[in-house]
Amino acid sequence: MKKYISFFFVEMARLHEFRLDFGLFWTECALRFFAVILFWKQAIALGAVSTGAMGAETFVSILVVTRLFAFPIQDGDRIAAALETPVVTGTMNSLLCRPIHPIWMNLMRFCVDKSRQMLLSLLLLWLAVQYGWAPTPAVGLGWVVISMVLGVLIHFFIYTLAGILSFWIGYVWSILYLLSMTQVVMAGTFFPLDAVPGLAEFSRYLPFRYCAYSAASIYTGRSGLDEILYQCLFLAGLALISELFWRRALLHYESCGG
Amino acid sequence: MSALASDPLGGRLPMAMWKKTLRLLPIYAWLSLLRISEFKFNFYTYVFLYFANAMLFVLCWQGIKLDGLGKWDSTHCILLTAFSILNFGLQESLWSTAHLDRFIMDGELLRVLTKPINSYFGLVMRYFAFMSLLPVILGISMIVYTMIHYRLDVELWRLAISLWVCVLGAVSFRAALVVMGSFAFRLGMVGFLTSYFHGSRETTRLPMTHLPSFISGFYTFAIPAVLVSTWPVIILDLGSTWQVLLLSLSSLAVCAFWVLLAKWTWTRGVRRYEGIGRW
Repeated sequence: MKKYISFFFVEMARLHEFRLDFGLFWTECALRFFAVILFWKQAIALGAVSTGAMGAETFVSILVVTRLFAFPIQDGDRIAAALETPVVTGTMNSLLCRPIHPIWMNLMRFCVDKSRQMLLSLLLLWLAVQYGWAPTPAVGLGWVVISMVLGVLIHFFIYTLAGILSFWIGYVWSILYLLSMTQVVMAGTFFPLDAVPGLAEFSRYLPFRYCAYSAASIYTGRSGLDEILYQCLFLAGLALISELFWRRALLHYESCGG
Repeated sequence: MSALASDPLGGRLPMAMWKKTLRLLPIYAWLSLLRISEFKFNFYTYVFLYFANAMLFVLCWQGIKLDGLGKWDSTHCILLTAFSILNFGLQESLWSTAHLDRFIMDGELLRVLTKPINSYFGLVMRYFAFMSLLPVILGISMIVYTMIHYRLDVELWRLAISLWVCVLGAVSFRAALVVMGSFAFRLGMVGFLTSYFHGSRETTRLPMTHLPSFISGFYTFAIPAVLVSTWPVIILDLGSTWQVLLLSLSSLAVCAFWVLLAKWTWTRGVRRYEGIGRW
């Protein structure tokens, strides 16, 4: 475990190499956040969109919270590329020679990015509550944080699975494209899932909902804590499938040299 | 080694160099095709997955039933998605323009500088993504299908101009990314700058005319994202003839501005570049 934790600190040091980049990474997320929220606010104010049974206020508040919780789940292609690139370029050999599990190593590395993004989410959420953009939490914030962490881990394993597929099919960026765009819709970051009849129910069978929308539903009180149970089940399932696929991938992998 | 001596962009390109660079284009395109077809699954699923994604957004806009946002309704939002796919297909074909900062930081630039070819073409055309032109066909098909299916009464010249503005948008967008990438010569990693461009993909699916003025101004003047989809849709169906003329000329001006700025920043960047290579 100690060696995996060291990856966390190495990555932290690496990110600090370019301080300007590290310090300003959040500005784009914030701009896009305001762009999308303000668009829907205007559309609702003009009566251009039907919010159905949700009501306009709930529509906006749940969208605000979901988008804030979606900050840490935006760079899935980097997670997959951490496995895809070594496979395709042949550097997987050197990775396999080391006494480490690449998936756990990647997890530790991405923890740095994810933790700073989660901190940013919570900070902006606090500001949103202060300025009346978001409601106060319906449950204890601890439950929301647990749900967020579970969501980030689910996101990590979704893209890790996509990365593992590169052992069989080489480049996986066509799959990554589909995953990222599906996530935009099915994680509820484009508009609240409950606004489209049937979509919320359908989203329960896909893992994307549990990346951000679950935490937002728990926060706003639209879902109970059983949502965390579903997240745990999806996380366990994805982690298990990743491990099984990883083992199969190693059996399938052939290379020489390097 | 100093880049000044070897970089052809330091001065005017001789005609022989132009001819040589242009002769390389079909070769790079062919190599790109071969490289893509090396991994068959990606090759075969690429357009299908783009199609699935487009359908997802079409279903969403139909589900939301947007209507009454000025002249905009769900049909125009579907057109936004189509133009967005077409535009990003064009952009992705010049894949490496979005990663110039990485090429500079990783030393890939040095490898190109040591070759007797134009440095910019060397980086861009070597990574020319031939397959990304397939979503362009999908985007155009989707635009035509939406026009027929929703019975939009659109003149042919409007369609032609909107497609042209969309192409200008792709060129401007990539030229702007070259400008941002060129900052890597001075600042190192500039992911926070390029992320504005990658992130704008989501906002191009919304009518930017209905964003607050400071945000729509940002997406017009700081990032030419408004050319990606919003202006083409206005030209296609929503704007008056005068508006079409105004937007077309503005697109041309925006494109010329970014291309000239890209050339200037890249040339200056390469001049101040120093590296001791291993190649």
